[in-house]
Formats: sequence, structure tokens, C-alpha cells
Amino acid sequence: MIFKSPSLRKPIALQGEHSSTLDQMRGRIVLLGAFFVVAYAAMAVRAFDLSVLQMSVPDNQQYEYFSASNDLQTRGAIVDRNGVLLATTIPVASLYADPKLVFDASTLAQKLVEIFPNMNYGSILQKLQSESRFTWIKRNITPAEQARVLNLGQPGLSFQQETKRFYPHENLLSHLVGYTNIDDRGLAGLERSFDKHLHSGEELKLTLDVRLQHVLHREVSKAMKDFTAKAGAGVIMDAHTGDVLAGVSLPDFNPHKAGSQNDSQIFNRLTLGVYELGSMFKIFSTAAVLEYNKIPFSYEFDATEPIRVGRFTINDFHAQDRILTVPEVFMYSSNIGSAKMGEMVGTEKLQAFYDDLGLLTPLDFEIREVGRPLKPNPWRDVHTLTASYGHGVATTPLQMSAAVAAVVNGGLLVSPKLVKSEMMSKDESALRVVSEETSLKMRALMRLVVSDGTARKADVKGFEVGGKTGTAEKIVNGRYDRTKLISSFVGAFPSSDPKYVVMVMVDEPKGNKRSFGYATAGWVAAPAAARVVNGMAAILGMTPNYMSAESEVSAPLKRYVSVKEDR
Amino acid sequence: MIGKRRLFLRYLVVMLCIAVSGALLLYTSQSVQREQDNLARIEASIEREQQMMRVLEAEWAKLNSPYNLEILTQQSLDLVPPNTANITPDLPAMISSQEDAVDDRQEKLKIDISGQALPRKPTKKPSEESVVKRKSPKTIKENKSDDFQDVLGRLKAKEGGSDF
Repeated sequence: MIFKSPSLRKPIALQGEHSSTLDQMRGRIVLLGAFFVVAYAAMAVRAFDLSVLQMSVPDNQQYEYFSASNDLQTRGAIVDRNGVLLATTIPVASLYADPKLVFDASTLAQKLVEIFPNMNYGSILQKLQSESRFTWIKRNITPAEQARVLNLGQPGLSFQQETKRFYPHENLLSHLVGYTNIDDRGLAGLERSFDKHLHSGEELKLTLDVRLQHVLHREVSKAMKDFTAKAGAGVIMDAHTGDVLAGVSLPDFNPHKAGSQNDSQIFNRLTLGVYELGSMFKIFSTAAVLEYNKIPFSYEFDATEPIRVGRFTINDFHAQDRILTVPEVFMYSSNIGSAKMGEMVGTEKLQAFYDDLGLLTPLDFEIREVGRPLKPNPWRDVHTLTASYGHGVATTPLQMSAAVAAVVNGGLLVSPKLVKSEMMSKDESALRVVSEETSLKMRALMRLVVSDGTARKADVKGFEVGGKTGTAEKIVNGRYDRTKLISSFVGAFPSSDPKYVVMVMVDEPKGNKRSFGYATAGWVAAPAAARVVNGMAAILGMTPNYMSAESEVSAPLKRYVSVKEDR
Repeated sequence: MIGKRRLFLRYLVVMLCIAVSGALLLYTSQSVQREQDNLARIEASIEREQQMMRVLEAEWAKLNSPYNLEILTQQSLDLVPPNTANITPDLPAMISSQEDAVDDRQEKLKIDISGQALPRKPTKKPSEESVVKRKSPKTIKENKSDDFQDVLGRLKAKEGGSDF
């Protein structure tokens, strides 16, 4: 190719025989230039395409109340065994102001008082007129309030998103579920012991049933109110697995306001409180003597005279002043009879038995608020006598229920659980504390107490409630105080094959007119337990099974029981 | 020369390839960026929805709490908490598990329609039961064989029929 260039002497030859290196380079430069022209043209076309032809405004870029997530995980929720929400974290906005950007402080303060009627006009005005660039107006406001503030259209007001732990059931589960601090870290209960698990966003499923919790709470409250008691506790436990279906400690508190509650409200009487529960320990001493000494029901104990050991005298509360058979000792709650039973078992065996049942050592439980049981130290033979009827040993209501469950469920030890675990099914390696036969005998004895003994008010027709009352005097200044009682009842139903253990404890009840001035467990705790069983049956859909006298599990015992003439 | 023409063509082809691949690269990276932006937006909106859901679930849990429901039912409904007397027993299981007189059983199953439990019959005092005898305790002979083996056997046989 030959070009004729007017300025040059020689024509340019791009190709062919006459093209030189210079010519080639010129060609390449032209080509490169053309390439860039094309490239820029393409970009121009693309720009036109994007801006004019494809006008898309992403529609989720409007101003949102909740800004995009930060990298922190939301604290996991806590749910009950049926999935009902017990604790959750919800986002809340907190309102603050930049006073420098506020023009008309008084009008704005007026409008804010309209939105937040609990706030003081003067204090808001002061905040809006201050010199700082940042001042909180109100923290943790509801979405409705937030919308109203937004509608004011004030540049000086802004929101900061925070999270808050919310407990829909408020007081109902405050001791077990616990509460958190302002930084969403657990301070008590399960919130504290499972803090790491919850903080990583995982959900926590409990064995509690909120409906049963409500029933238990209602009935223990009622017992406390009817008998003007100081405090109370209650528990519903699955007799075979140890699942805690309901656990109540009263008085209780609002977990949203945990900081302003007093010590009595926060104290967990179910797991942390240690009490001398009295005659309920006769369940264990009787089980021990039946298991180890294998005595028949007709075996007789002389309860005609009190026992004197050194300075101590052991008396009967419902004094029968006669010789009693095994069922009679249990039914009439004879301290003398039980002390003699304990003597038969022996110090070593009885202490080991109580220990095996988990009554004497602090419980290994899912919350940290656990009390330390009290026992005689050193444990002498005289202490065996008193421990047989529940004096000198103190334990928590929860451990008491678990021990009773072990005795009535066929003899296998249960450990109380609060968190549902995947590892269900019968644990083959469960420790056996009593034989099946002893368990059946104890169930019969306990049924007798409810059908004919001190716990008649605990009976619910058709549900074969069996149990034991315990009315213990509290120790005040080193002496037993007759006016300060701990009245409790622990029961299991249905007695033929117990499914649930129910316990109610009332601290310092005072007799009322309807109870003829009595504040014993038979008047205070037993009726409350009956109401709990009533509520449970309806909720869980349990059908009654009306037993005739002959088919009752305690029927064979009746022949060993005789009634005093002047009843 | 023919070599030079071919060289020129090859040069052209190579430049074109580079141009095309450059354009494709730009297009791909821009698409990816756009999708990533989209993804971030969608994830943010999912998070917002989940938060709204949590708020609604919390509100639902509070309104449905047993305490609240009890108050509402007392205010608005004519219902009372059920009593065990209102629950009918599982008759077949019950009948098959007991050897009771028919009259006795019929009495117990009658339910008052107002929902109140039947008043306790005063005839159930143990002193009037046939099994308790008013004899002196000292005359009770020691019974070597406990009746419990029978009860144990009977309960084991009944295991299948229990409704709990």
C-alpha cells in the first residue's frame, strides 16, 4: 500500500515490500488509537444504558426504623416444653437529642410530653436547652411512640437502636428463668447458667410447662393469702424422668425490674432455701426400715410413752398413747414410732440412705442458686432418732420432691432437670435406692395418709393421690418456736403407678376462721395440693379412675389400722 | 510481503481478543457487584423482618399468657376452671380394671351439670368401712405373708389398661 503524502518526499508504505519499521509503528499506533476510541464509545453506550434505559431505584432503601443488622448475634430465646416463649430479645429504640439542632425547645418539649405523659415538662425542657451535643430523652420506647416522634419531623431528635430482654410472663417464672443486665448478660437463674449458650444465639428449651406453672403459682399464692403466710414454694415433677414441670417460689418479682426488688422476693425458696421439713422425712425412714429390716406391716411399735434420751424428749403430736402397727405409725405421724424405726435401721444405714436419696448434699442443678443442706455433724445415734422424723436435717424442697419421686417410682433415683435434653429414654445405669416391693408398700402407705390420715384434704377423687404431710416448727434463737411453722405436703399420683410428684410448702402460715385456727399442713398445704392436682388433670387431659375400696392400692393395709374410740 | 499481512492480521485478532475479554471481565465483575449489593439488601431486610417477627411473637406470648387468659375468661366468658368431676373417666378401661358392684360405680359417675362436684358422701369414714375392725390392736396376729404379692401381681397384670 502506498500513500502519497503531500509533505513528505517519500510516500509512506504501510505494507508491502517498501514498508519500513517506522511505517509499521505508525500503523500500530493508529490501531491502538482506534481501540481506545471503541472502548470509550462502549462505555458511553453502557452509561447511557444504565442511567436512561434501566432506571431502577431499589425499593428497600427507604428510611427504616430498624437499621441493618450489626454483626452481633441476638441472644437466644428461652421456651417451655411446648414451645411457648418465656424469654426473648426484642429491638427497642432509645430517643436522644442534639440540643444544638433544636430550634424551638419549649414547643418541642410540649409535644414530647404529649407523647410521653410520664415525663416531666421541666426536665425535658432543661435537657433540650443544655449545652451538650448529646442527651438521652427516653430509653426503650415502644414502636408506636417512636412513630409519633418521627412524625414530629425534628432534626434535633434521633434514635439509637438497642435490644432489650423481654419476659412475656413476667413474675411467673422469674426465679427459674432469671434475668439479664443492661448489656444482655445473664445475672440469675437459667439466663446466667446458660449465658454462653444463649449469647451465641441458640435457643434453650425447658422441661417447664407454663400452664402447670400458672396453676401451681395460683394455688400456692392462694394458700399463702388464705393463711397470711410469709413465703411459699411448690414444685411439680415427673416421677420417672425428674423433669421439673413447674417450680414456684413466693414472693416473686418482676424480672424487668429486678434491680429494685428486695431480698425476700429474689430469694429462691425452692432451690436455695433449706428447711427442716419435719414429718415428710418419715417417708424415708419408713422406706429404710421396710427395705433393710424387712419387717411386715403388722410389726408393732410401742408409742405409749415418750422416748427420753439425755436432755431430749421425743413426743407425738397426734398422741395415740398405744401400740401402733407400721401403717398406723405412718398414718398418725408418730414421732416415737418413727424414731424407733430409725433405731432399727441404724445410724450408718439411715445416714447412707438419706445421702443416696440426694437429701444431704447440695444438688447438682442447672441453676447456680442452690442451697447447702444441713445435717448433724457429728451424726450420733441420738441424731438418728430425730432424723427419722425430720428434725436435725434440713434440705431444699426440690431435693425433697426428687427423693420422694425416687421412692414412689419403683425405686430408681431421679435427678431433677430443668432443661430438656435429647438424651431421653430410661437410663439403665440409674441408681436403685429401694426395691420395687418397698416402693409399692410406700405408695400404699402414702395413699392411706390421704384417704384416711392427716392429708385427707389432698384427696382428689379418681386420681389416687398419695402423700405425706409435714408440719415443722422453725428454729428461732436456737429453740423451736410453736408459732412459726413450715407446713408442707408432698404427694404423688396416681398411686398405682405414679406419674407426677407435687409438693407445696408454706412458710409461717397462721390459722384462720375456716381452719378453726389450725395452720398445720393438713389444713394449709394439702388442700392447695388437691387444687393443683385438679388443675393438672384438666390441663393434661388425665382421666379419673374411680377405685372401689377393695381395689385401692392401700386396701390390704386397712386391716392393720384400727381407729381410736374417741375420734 | 505476505508474512507482514498475516502478522498484521494476527496482531489485530490478538487486540480484539484482549478487548473482548476485557469487556467481558468488566461486565462480570459489575454483575457480581450488583448481585452482592442485592444480597446485602435482602439480608438486611430479612433481619428486619425477623426482628419484627420477634416483637410480634413476644406480644403474642404476652397476650396468650395463662394469667392474661384467666383474667379475660373471667371477664368475658361464662366458663369456670374445670373440676375433676367434670371429666368423664375412660369407662372401658375402668370397668375392665375393677371388679366393682355396678350400682356403686354408677353412683360415682353421676356428674352435676352445673359443674360442681357432688357433695362428699359421709359414708366413707374408715370406721364404717367393712375392712377396718374395731378390735384391740394387741389381738392382731403377726401375718407372715404380706398381701402385697397379690396386689403387686394384680397391678402388673393391669399395666396395659392404665390410661395415664
